[in-house]
Amino acid sequence: MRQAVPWVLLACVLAYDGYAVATGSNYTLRVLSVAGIYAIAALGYQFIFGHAGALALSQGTFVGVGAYASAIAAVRWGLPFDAALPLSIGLPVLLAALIAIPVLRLQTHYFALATLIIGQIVQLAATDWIGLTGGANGIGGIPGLSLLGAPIRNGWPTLALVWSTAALGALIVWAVMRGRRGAASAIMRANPVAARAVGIDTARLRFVAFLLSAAFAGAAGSLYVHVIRVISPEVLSFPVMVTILTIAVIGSRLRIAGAIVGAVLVIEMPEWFRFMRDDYLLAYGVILLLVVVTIPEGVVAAAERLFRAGTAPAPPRAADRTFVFPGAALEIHDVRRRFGGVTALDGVSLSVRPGEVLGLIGPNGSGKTTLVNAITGIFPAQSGTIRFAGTDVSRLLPHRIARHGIARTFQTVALVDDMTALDNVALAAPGTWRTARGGAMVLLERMGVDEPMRRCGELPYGMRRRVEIARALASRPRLLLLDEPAAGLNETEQADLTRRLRELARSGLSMIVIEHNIPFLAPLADRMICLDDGRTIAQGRPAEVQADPRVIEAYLGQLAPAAP
Amino acid sequence: MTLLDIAGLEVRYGDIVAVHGLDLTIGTSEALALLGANGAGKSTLIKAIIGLLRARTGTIRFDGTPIGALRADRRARLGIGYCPEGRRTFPGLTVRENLAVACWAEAAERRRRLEEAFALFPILAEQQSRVAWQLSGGQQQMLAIGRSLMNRPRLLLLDEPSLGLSPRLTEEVLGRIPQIVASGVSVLLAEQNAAKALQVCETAYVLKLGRVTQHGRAAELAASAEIRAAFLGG
Amino acid sequence: MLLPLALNVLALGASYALVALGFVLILNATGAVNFAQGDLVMIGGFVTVVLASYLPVPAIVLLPILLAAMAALGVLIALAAYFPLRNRPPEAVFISTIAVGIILQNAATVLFGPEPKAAPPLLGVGEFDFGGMFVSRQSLAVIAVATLLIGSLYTLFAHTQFGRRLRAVAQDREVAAAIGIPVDAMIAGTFAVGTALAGAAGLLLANTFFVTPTEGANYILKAYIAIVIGGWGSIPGAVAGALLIALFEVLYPSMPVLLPAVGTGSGLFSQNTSTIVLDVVILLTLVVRPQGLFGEAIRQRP
Repeated sequence: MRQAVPWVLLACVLAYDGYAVATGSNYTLRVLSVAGIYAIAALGYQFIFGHAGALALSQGTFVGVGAYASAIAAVRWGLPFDAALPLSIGLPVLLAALIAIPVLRLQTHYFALATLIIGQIVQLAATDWIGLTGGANGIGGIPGLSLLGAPIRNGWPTLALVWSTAALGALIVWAVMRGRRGAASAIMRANPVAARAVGIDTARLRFVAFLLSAAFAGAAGSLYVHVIRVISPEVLSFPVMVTILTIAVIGSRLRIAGAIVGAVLVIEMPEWFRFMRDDYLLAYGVILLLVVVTIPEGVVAAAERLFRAGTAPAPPRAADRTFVFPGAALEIHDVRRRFGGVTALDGVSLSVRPGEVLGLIGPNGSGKTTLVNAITGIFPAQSGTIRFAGTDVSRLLPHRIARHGIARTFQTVALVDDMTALDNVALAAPGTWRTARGGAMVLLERMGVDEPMRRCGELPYGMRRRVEIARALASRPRLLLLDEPAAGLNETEQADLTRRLRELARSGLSMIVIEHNIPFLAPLADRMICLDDGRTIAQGRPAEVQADPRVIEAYLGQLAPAAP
Repeated sequence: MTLLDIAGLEVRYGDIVAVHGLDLTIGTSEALALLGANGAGKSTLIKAIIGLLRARTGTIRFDGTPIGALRADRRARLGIGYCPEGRRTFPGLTVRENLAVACWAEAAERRRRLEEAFALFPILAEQQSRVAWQLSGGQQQMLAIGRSLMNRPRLLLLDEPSLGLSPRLTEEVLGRIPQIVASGVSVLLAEQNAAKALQVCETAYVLKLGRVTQHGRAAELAASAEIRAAFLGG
Repeated sequence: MLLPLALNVLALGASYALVALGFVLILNATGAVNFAQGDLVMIGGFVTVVLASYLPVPAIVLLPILLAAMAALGVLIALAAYFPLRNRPPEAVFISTIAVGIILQNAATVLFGPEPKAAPPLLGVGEFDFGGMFVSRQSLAVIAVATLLIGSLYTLFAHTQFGRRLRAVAQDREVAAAIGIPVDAMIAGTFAVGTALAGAAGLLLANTFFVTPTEGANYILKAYIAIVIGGWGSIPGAVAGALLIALFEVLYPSMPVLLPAVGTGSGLFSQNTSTIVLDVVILLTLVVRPQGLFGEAIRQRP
């Protein structure tokens, strides 16, 4: 039922198109063609704004650059639509690549501003570079669409070409975002830190998304200029960007059908409100606000939610293999880290041997999680060295460290709630998406997750913890860092977890387990280290550390005086 | 005299039940220790009392009035002071401003209470013009406690005040509790540092996975082998 | 020559500073960008024009009425575009305030028409004679009024309980509520203050530059840039950033006059080129110092 929603909506769009072809004037058909062009631009915009989750305000600029490229090619060099299309796509992509290098790493609002400013520069350049662009007056007399030398007439042939291109675009989006890239984008949006910790190069993912969005925008611009037949710097102005953003928001930013339904709604809506004459744009603003406030996820996602219940697809077959995890050694020497006036790590040194389970204890705030963050590169150590399997990893980026074979789980479970357990695990696994999912099935079974096709948000808490460990294992780690794996689990679940973790250790995996729950940790750990105030205060076999008076004092307070 | 009366409280995060049908009472001028490991539900309970989390079921009465439907700021104004886990001082405000924002009396009275806070923690007086994020962990903890006292609460909720402090500083911070109680304030102290908490409180509750497993007089619990087992694992 | 130029810079910079301050206050309190801030400047200009048509008095008399009206509008915007989305990611508010901007723009077009309108001067027209140097009365009055507003704002934030509590809400909303601060009311109050500041800027700018329904985009970009130069969220930084932008905007096009050696006539010093150069400088700033020129290093917490 839920899967049918986008198709039903698309069928409505198609029916509306057909109705317009049968009854409408050339004007109506042209408006619908423009809607199709915006659908293409919005499909592209979903890559960066939807999937990569970055608020780019440059999509309008890319459309404009593509449009100018086609216009200039057509008028100055006599190139028809199809011959100039590669140029119209290539130029925005090139521009995107150039600005991505300095700008794409910026935080949300900085990125939005930077893209906004680039838009302004391009618009002013188009206005001032009169020799090339015709300045504020723009370029007129642009020929209509044509394919392989055959002109495409106005009216339904143009409409058909535009919407075929939109359909092709939709197909490309579907092909690109299904499977691993979609899953990787989802975890990047939900929790960028976790994404890097499973080895996803988030910078690269954003870069590719940005280039793809520019390519779609370029194609849309090229179509636009051959349908409208004139161009001026207006096409580069902010309202074009706002329209594309509006389409993505109203339609649903992650749904292919959303871009299409949104484009038809947003471009057609002003036509429906024409009877209000001068006030129609006002009504349009009010409706936009109402939609944003009442259904912020967009109409397509909202419609799907109404029909959520449905049968889960069958899980893939588990790969025909078992995993072994050969462990590697970790050497930490004199690691320090400060935050403001607080010293979180004050010269910590420790080592883990291959196949060893090291228990890390200490009061809250003693630096345990900070140490894990330093090992995984999230908050790198400010001094000291961290060597793993013979390599110094202390200056590497988190995803590089992850790919060296260090995997972790988080104190608060960091999964994508509206993705299946299976895909949450598969996104961390190497290989093709098919083998990744097959391998993920094996690991989920091994961790005792019996409903791999349920969305993680619907799984009980204990299950989510297991899914997270399975995800950490999916990247074939040689060292596993577990941050309070037993927190919130009941005794049965704890016992079950101990058994599974011991099994992993027997297969050779090195582990560091942070835990407050000593009864859980003591039988699991080969050795224990106690941190206090950012320093190691004791280490040795679990029983020795538990008996160490410094540990008792730091961790538990002096019990002795209270005892009668 | 019962000051805080909690009955049948259940708090959830999504489908995780963090506190299960919990009953707890605190009298006036009573110091109560809330013990338990991480994830036992101590912070959740405290947040539910101050109103940062909504209880699913159960009642919370403060001085006889049901407060379960009130927003956090209303509860605070009724006389509940809150010192959050991890200190959470306002990083860009000075020490003086951190204290002042929490006081709802007029200016002269505010100055008087600032002096009281400085008397309780003299180090804060020396640092009063520095912005909070430059303070050390221990100083921030004292600031957070000072802040929670600025509105003269009748009930003070202290969530892990010894977190990240050295034993000496823990001694210093927790050592102020009897003084605070003597001035007529009831204290609910959530602590992992069981021994110290049992020293400064009269009664104690032990939480495990969101349920009370033991409660009674602090001195008796301190002697119990189960407490040692629960926190030491053997 | 230099004195009038300096006063122009200050007058323009002070007006921009009001816009940027309103923007940064709302940003700090909610973590969200109010993209309608530029359109609110425009609305401030039009409301002044309308008020002046009923009350033919100097604009300074209209200022208190305008501030009150804009504050009310600010609360309305908070209720319509912020509170329903407070638990969504900040982009949601970004988009809802874009919608508010569209509404304001089109409402202004419908009500006032697309032609530029001028608001009355603050005190009167004419120039003062400083020993042969002529200084516009309007510029001086703009500087005085803006300085007064910024000064009052500073006092409000640094020296009143209300201001401290606004800052506390901006820094940790949850703890602020837990120590008794009514967070929603404070946020609505921030929207009121921020919107009133944009309106005041509209009143100050609408005499010299006229007011048109579509000019908001220009101001939002300047406010945004001022905040980035000044350090995201920094209040003194916002003022400094606004002054720097004004300095650049006034000085750059007058370079050929100030320094004849750089040459004249070419399009190198046109208004458009000036904007492009400024944009490029901002982009470089973003790349080299993402924390702004005056911003402190980003504080990280585990």
